[in-house]
Amino acid sequence: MIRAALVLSLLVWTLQAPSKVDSVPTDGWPTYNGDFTGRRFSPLTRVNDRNVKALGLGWSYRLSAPNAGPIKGTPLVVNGVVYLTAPDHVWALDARTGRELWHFENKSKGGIHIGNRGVGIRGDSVFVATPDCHLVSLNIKDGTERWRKTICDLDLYYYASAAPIIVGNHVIAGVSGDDLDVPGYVQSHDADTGEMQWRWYVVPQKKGDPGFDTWPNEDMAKHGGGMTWQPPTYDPELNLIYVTTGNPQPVIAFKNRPGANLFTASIVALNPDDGTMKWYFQSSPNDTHDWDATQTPVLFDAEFNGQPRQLLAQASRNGKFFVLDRRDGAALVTSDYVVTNWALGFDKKGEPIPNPAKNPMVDGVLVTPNQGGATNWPPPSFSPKTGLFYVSAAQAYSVWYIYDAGDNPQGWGGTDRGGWSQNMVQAVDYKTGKVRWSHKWEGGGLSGLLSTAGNLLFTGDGSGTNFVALNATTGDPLWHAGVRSNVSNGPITYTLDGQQYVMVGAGDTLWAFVMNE
Amino acid sequence: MRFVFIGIIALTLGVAVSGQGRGRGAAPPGQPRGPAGQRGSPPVNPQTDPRAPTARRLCGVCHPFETIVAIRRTKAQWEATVENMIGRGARGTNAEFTTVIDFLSEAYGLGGGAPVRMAAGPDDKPLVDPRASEMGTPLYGTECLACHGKDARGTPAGPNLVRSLNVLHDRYGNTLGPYLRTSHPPVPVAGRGAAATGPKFEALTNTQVLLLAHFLRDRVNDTLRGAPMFKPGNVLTGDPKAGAAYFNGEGACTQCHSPTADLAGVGARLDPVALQQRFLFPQTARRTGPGAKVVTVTVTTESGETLSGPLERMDDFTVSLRDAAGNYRSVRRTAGTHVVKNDPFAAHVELLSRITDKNIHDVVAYLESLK
Repeated sequence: MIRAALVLSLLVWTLQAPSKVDSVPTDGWPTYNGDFTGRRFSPLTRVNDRNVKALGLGWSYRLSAPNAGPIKGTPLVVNGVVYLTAPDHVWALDARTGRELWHFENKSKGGIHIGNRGVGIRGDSVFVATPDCHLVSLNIKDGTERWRKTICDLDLYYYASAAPIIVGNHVIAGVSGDDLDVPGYVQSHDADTGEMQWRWYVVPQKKGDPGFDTWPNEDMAKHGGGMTWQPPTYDPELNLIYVTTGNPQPVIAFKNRPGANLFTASIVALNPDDGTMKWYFQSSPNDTHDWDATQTPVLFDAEFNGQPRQLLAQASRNGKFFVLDRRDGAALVTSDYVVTNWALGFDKKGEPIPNPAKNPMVDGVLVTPNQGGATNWPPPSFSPKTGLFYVSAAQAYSVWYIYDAGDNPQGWGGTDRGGWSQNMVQAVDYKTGKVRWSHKWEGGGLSGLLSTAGNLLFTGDGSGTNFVALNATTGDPLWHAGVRSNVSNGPITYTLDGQQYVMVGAGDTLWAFVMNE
Repeated sequence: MRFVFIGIIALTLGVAVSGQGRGRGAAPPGQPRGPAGQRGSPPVNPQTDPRAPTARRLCGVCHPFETIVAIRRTKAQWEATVENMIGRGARGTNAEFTTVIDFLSEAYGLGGGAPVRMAAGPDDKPLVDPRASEMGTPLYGTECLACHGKDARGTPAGPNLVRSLNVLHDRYGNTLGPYLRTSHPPVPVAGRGAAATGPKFEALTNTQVLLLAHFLRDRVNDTLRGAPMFKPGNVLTGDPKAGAAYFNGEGACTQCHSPTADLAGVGARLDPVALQQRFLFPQTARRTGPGAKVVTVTVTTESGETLSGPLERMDDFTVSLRDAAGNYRSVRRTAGTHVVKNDPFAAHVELLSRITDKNIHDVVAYLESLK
């Protein structure tokens, strides 16, 4: 009976799927970012900066499969059920108690099991990508398999880790894996049948394709990388998905790919119905440091220079912060959110101009950020209440070496080595790109962020054991709970029975906090 | 070693001959052994070794342990890898990191046989037997090199085999053999023009195909991150005199160091890459012993008590240390608690934001001259 009610209310949710970019469900967390915008902002205020000290443990759930963690995915919550993932695994849990309802395990054929970012949900179907290159549809009632489609080639060292995003009848999936020199792409599948609807290649696959003139030849272009590690965001009004793309290949030993290498390390606006590109903005032209640009492209409508604007903001792994007009990709704000030393400035389009002297060299070059980046995959947050873009950041230095100094390097003929880093949360004013406050951590580890209308910012503190709440306006620490391991995903929040839950993954355990009142 | 090699040949040959489905002949995991040069040392079992839990605990904070051991590395490469992770925030004691490096070097070193695969399945990557690859080298040299190049990355006369789907989909010769025997384009005969064709490869034996398969897979693996062939090149490109001037002047290195005291002979103790890394990032070097430099804190509590000693752990809410008597002390950080952190490496951190690459190379050249 509970399950019947669950399906019924899911249908209701599907019908009520947000039509405006900033409408946010509060009784669940129905997509990777909570909504389509990527803001990871909740309007809930029951837990706030005045009472957060009373936030206490509701329940915890330890993954029932040994060695499957750490939890790097964002759980979805729909109709009182939590859907949690690890590579090859999906669990359904009672959101009130943490009780396991079902567990799906993929019989793996291989692939890299470094992380899974979560499921997508549409109606009575749960969609998940597996390390062995499958997109799988599960019955939301019991986790039984409906269909599976191969989305990449394991032999080419691809794997799948990104959370699928559902737009209408499109299940949109990205691909992971940058070991070999192979092209990245994003593709769409029919939610009901699994049939592929379209595929968009990040790099030109033949002479004359868009962006071809930014590569030296067809062979380098078609093997040029650009993995789609992260779920896109979506603007239903403009009917555009915003896809972010990874580094070009061969990445560190860059000698044989002069040019901007489009559309790697870029933010790309695509039509979700057919995969055609409307515009692009390249966050890291000719990336030679493995920085990608796959950080969440966060969408919000806000005032800019006195005018209401449709904006897109990204704190990119290369240390640069961008605010774009999401209708056409025009840059409105460009800045550094940590100190960087690799660029000569920004060009007319607002794209960074790489300093050739900071490309990797045989005898070593000191660069900040390091290969891990000024940030990485842990999701950022934007609060319309404070106007601040929050990013889990690192001021990190390392030395970059070329190991393969030949004329035709392939794969990974270089890397960075050693390093020092200071981790922190940076709160960036979207109107200026300037850091309004910075809260530094003792120790390493980046964690995802969640901001709420209760003037709170939830994240991990880099100590390796704490889940914390900061004052979203000032950055002052307000509350913490020991969760035994580094906060390894993005926190979420939702209301059930009038109770506001705050949930986070740390290591192999999912923790649900509620107010003790 | 020979026994393992022959075993792999025998198993994989079965696939090449039968042409069965991909991956049916996946080689068995080799019996891992100690590092090269330690013949007769007892084998290290990666699963049951008492050091394995420490490695899994430290590495597993950020990624599944299996993701790092798919590629075997030398001890120097494992050291560099672990130091990279320390630089990125990995947590552990000096002793724990030493344990992890020793364990990884022995269980996942170059002398340890076939790599342990991650969650291996029938479609996962084929393994390379180094001896088979070595035996395939002369065969590649006579049959393939002229067109495909020394490293199999192609020439104007023949395509890149590292990126070849035939090679990447191959399992121990099961696609390579049929392709070479029936589908490979005719090969030009030297001196008779491109139009002239010689024999195809019908005569290749199953063993020869298998050896070529191992050789080519080895060339693919040569392009993977962390591949053993990837080593730092010459970093001694600076001017030692300019390095000395920076050391004694702008770098302010003499505030703590002396070329005739702590740095005497450092050029003989450390190779140039290690010198470069140590002076830029001394925090990542694992130090033990009574003279080791560690971060200390001085904590003044609300009641006015002052505690001082090596920092154990600190966050926004708690700070803990070892006091002079060796006792563990943990203090809640309240508004009235005052904490001063003393980082012995602070001057090195400060250097990162102002030192130039020329300065770096000059200082390395200078330090290297301190034999």
